[in-house]
Amino acid sequence: MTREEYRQRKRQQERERRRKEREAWEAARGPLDLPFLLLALLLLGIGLIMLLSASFPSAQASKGTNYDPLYYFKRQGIFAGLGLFAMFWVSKINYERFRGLAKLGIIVSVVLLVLVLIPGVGITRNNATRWLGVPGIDSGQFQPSEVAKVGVIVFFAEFISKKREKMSTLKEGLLPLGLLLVFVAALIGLEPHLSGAILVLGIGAAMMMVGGIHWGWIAAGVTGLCTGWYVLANTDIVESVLKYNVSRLITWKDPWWDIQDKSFQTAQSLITIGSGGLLGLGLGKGRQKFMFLPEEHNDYIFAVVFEELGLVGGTLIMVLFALLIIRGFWLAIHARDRFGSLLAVGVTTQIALQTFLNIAVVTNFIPATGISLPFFSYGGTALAIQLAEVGIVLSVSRQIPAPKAG
Amino acid sequence: MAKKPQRKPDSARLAKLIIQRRTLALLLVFGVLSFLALFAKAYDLTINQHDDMKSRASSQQMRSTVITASRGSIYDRSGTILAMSASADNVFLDPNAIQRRADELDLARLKKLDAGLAEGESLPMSGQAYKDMIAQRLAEILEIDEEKIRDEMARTNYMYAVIKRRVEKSVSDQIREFISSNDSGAVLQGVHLETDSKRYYPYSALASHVIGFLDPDNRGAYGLEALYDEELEGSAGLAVTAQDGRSSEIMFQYEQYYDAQDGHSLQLTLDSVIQSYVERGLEDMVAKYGAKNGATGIVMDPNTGGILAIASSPTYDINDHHGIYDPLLQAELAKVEEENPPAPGQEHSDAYWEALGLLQNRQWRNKAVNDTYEPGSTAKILTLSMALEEGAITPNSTFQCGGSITVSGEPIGCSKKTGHGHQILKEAVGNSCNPAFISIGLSMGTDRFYDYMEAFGLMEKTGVDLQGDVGGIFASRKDFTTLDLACYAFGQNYNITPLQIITAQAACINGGYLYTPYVVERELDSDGNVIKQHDAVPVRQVISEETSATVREMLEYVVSSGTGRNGQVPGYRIGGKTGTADKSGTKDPVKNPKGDVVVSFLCFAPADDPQVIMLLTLDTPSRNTGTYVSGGNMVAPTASSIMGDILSHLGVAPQYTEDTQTAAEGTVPYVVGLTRDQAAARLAEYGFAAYRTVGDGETVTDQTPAGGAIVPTGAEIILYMGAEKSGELCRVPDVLGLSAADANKALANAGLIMKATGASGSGVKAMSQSTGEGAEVPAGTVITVQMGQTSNTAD
Repeated sequence: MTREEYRQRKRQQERERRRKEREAWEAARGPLDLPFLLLALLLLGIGLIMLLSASFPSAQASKGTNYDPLYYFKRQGIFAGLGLFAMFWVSKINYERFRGLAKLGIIVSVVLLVLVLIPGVGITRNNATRWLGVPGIDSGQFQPSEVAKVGVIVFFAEFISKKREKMSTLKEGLLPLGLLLVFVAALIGLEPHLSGAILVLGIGAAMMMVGGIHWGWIAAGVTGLCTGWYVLANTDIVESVLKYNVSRLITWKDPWWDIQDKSFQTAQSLITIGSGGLLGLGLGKGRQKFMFLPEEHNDYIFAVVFEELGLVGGTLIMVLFALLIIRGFWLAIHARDRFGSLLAVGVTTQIALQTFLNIAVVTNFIPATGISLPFFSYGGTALAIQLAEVGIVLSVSRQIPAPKAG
Repeated sequence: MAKKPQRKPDSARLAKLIIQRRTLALLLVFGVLSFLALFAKAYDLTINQHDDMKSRASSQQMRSTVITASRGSIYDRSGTILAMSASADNVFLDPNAIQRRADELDLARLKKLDAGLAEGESLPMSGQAYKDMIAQRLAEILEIDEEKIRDEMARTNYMYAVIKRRVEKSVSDQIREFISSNDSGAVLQGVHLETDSKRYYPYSALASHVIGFLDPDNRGAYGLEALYDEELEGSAGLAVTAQDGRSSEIMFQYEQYYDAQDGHSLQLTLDSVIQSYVERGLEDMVAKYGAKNGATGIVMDPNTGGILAIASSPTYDINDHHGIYDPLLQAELAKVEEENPPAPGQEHSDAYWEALGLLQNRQWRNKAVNDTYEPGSTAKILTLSMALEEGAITPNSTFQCGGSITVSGEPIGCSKKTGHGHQILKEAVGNSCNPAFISIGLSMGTDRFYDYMEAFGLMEKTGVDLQGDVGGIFASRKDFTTLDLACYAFGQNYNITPLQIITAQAACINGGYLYTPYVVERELDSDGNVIKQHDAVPVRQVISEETSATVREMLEYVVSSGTGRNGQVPGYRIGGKTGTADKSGTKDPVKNPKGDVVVSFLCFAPADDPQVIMLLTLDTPSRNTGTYVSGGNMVAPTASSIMGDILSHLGVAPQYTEDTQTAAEGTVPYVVGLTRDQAAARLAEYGFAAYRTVGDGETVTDQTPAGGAIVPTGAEIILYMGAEKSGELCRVPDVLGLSAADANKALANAGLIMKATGASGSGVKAMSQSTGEGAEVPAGTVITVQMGQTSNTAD
């Protein structure tokens, strides 16, 4: 090969690369999916208003918030702003570029999850070590499990999209992903953070299912879930055999058994929801948030929604969530490639799982576990990451080919 | 550029298809199914369980505070307060807080001990010392047992233990001071006061049977307090406020106030002055004649049925209604106590408690309304009235009394065994002649007689607004025989309450109108507006005005010349009727051959235009007092003195005849500084003719009695002319049994002034004197002497 030839080939390659890049760039320059964007913004807006309503009494009465009724609202607002910025920034990026971040992402996630478990590094609250400090920012904290969710989503999407039909095999599909998933979930579970572990497992499982693992495994998984549910609900096997402190399970079956203590949270939540009735007491006029319902601005914010806006208002917001989720899966179905589909499935599943589990806990449909409600629950980094994830879906939506006319 | 058809590998297409299909499944599960499940759950909570959850929410979010209503007062007719409420404080402990504080102190003490004391610093008191201090000081202030406080304090899981209810303000102020400054060096924790209301009865025992009392929860338990509990109590208000989970009030949310409605006040027809006259009279009479079963007294306005006084002996102190008030009952209780000493460790024996309960019930009993008796001869007024009305007799009818009369084969005796002989109607009434009244009754016939008994309202309850208004006991109309009639005619063989018969008797002398007796004149709201006013409307007219006038005339004769002479009141025209009624079934051939009696006296004044009517009864007087047992002997003198007081209290002007002149009274003028002649003229101007001087100065330097004193105008006024008023005491002589003139002379000689009350005329003697023989009193003291006459026939 002559130098000239070599140069020419190099130039050729360079042109090819630029062309591909331009193509990719052009593909990524399609319009954002407006319905998904608007639904997300709408929910964020409503969520902020409800957070203000739910949080001001406790903020006003607490020394930790300097008796500032707007304390939670202001902080959440700042993170919402940051999150929106991140969302638009992420949505501008061609999601194909995330492929390259997949391995790094999962490694960083695992490192962070291990870090948080090291005594003295993680920050402990309520007997659970789930937080890491952000160097350089006073009281800046975040949960590695939030990062891990994104890490899992991106890694799984990348991994599965390459496997194609090999996903249906045990060795290539289920086993490596399953093991990784269990490992990550176990790290989160050790914090302990049961709900976080459940979420990661759920997201991973959903992506594996969509990605094409064998039907049998799906059937086995669904059967397992149903059996577990049945056993929990109808027997006291956990109580008697495991001798495990299962007050949550007792509360689930009888929320009034110890309303002064063990079932206080759930009972107060049910009172809050039930007293709202059809139309609710009116926005801002809730009463349970006045130091009756704990975690009212947090995991139990949707109880306040029911109390103030009633069944009608609560249902309306659930419909908005449902539409957002449906739109997210719709985008996944129509994504340009498998990677995009899987990214959208992962993010949407996360939103769907959190929404479902949160409202199900609040209404005592399932045993209590601490899962926050997307866009509503107080929690800055979680909200920002959530919005960034919305950005990922929006990024996927930009590359959906316009439907052919005729 | 020539393009190959862009085809993805089959595997890629298949993989994508799988992703799309399975994503669709996820979409259905997460986007639709899960939300349907959540909706169902939410629907169940917000709709099906809404009411339950709402009430649970309200019960924890709402705090309701009771706003107590102030209980209404009870006034007499002139506005004197008989019962009133004022706020008082309950003292209660929070044993839990006391324990916490004690623990705190102990801990602080330990720390101090560890750290060592700085110069001039002292150790905090120990927890035990803290408790001791509270127990000791509270026991001291509240005058209760220290042990009781310690017992309450020991129950440390409690947070509310009342140790004394309704303490006076002076006491609660001491508690407040103790709380704010004490040896613990800080505000006392665990001792609290709460506002409650306390009922005060300023006149203690006065009208106690009418007013009644409250139970410990301030609810009416007896008397008007119970009967009018609802009106007096008012309705408590409620403040509903929102509270947060830490029990502090949420100021700006949903407050609701329901104002307390203060109770209404009652204004009674009772006159507390007259009530006190009657109560005092009963007390004296019971003591004097050893009446085993007490006495009753009723004073009524015959023209409305309004009760001016109603009393029953024994009585009680409303402010301490559990304590035995009457000295006779106290003696009985003491006797039981003595005979049944308490077992060791017991405060009192069981017999004592039992006796106490019985005595309490006895003293609470309003005999004038709750108990019936056979009225006896005062009921002859009814027989007289109905017979006159029906024309069965006229004032000119004559009667022959041979000492007894036989009816249906049964001989019935007269009180005068030898018989009253020939009498006209007036004399028969004046003699209280049984045979005469039996024949009057018989002339009526059973049916007509029974009709009138009904018309006089005796067959039903009086309808008075007092507790325990009971009806009488009569033979039914179909069992009403001629023999019954004969007995009924002079007031035996049936039972009625004193209130029933005075109500009927009032109708006989007021023009014939039967009124429902009542004590509550009007009901006032808390601002003094009249809510309800009693409207005195006669129930019916039983006899005509003319008949009634004749009855009054006859009854005036009873007092002026008949068995009721001791009921005379100087200066007033009094009508009346005596009564000595056998208590059926009390005769015992061995123990009690004569049987028990109820002696009574009915009187009204002025006789020509009655303003007041009064009935006194004395149940089972002793036969061993030396006074022959009869209404005229035992009750009429007391009635006379009470009636005299009542009439002068009511401002009914006396009209003295020559006969009664000795009883006329005047106000002694102030004559100090005048010359002898001027003083004499001034005294004469005021009706005082007699005076004597002591010393020989130019002007009067002192006088006895002092200016302004009210004394009989016959009294001798002593004028000191420069001489010192002698501080010497005069010895009261015994005037009992003397005639009015002799008694006056004896007292005047002793340097005292006599005021004669009661009967006048020939044959009357001093029956009692207000100050006993031998007492040393200042010169010029007025000695009231009750004049009267004892007869040895029952009436």
